Amino acid sequence: MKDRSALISKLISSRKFRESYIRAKLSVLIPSQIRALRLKWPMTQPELGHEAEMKQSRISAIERPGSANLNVDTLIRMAAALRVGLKVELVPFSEMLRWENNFSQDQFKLPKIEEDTAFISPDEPTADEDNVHSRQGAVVYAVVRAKQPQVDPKQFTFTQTPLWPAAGLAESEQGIEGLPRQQYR
Amino acid sequence: MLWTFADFLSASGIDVVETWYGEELSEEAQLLFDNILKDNQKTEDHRNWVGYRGFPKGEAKKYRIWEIGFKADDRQYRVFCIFGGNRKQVILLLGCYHKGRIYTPADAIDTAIRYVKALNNREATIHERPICIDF
Repeated sequence: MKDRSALISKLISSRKFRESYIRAKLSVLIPSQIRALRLKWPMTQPELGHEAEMKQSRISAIERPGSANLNVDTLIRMAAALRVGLKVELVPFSEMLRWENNFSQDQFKLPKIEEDTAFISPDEPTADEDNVHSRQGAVVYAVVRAKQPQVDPKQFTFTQTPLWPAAGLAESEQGIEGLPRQQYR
Repeated sequence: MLWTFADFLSASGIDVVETWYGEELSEEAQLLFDNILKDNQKTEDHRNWVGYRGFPKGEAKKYRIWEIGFKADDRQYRVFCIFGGNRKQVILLLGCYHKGRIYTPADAIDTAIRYVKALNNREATIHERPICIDF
């Protein structure tokens, strides 16, 4: 399915194909994110399994494209074990593709909860915008948020901790390149 | 610089991987395989790739043949690969599936070794596999 117009026609006309299409994207992007963070922390598969109360073989399957039927609860356990948050969001196809096209395992960097200054100290000055935009996965979200009309917060009856813009993103982070790879495979 | 992928082309001009892709894989498996290549082309260290499975046991390792694995259609698919002569180039030799210790077709590893020998002897060629960016 390499012809773009044929792809679009099929996506528009067939629900089953849309399912396959989305599943095929997530079957790579989710393992890729988990693997990237695990290698970056760094953790071995047994260590992540211990944190998530899963067997190493299950972690291995989760990191293999298409191998694990991941449900939201499994993703929650993964996120908690990796010390990051989780956002599951229905989006337009264009946004999903932008996310995929911009995603790179090497560039995927997230702060652990204890390093997430925007979460821990939301009143402190945040990291500069370049740092925010250097974080893969945040880019699309930043764009979307920026395009949304400004809303008077007084209209809301609830209060919300300002989680965006995120900060503390890149100060002490090393790329995956710096890791002793053989040890964490 | 992104990784590039090239398909093995037999002496008679048959693109074995594309034939496997078109005839053996379901639509969803095709999409998944495309996405694996698309994601991995951006990852510098191939050992960090999703689906990277290293060298299979046995003689294949001598020929530096390694595997990419993924699951689709209730099958564990394997694609045998070697590194090409160009920097950050991977040659896809053939696809098969795997259960337990059994590859299907059963001679998949032997065939992959034969393909490597053919490439080394310049009896076969490769051609670049386009990585499709949907939009």
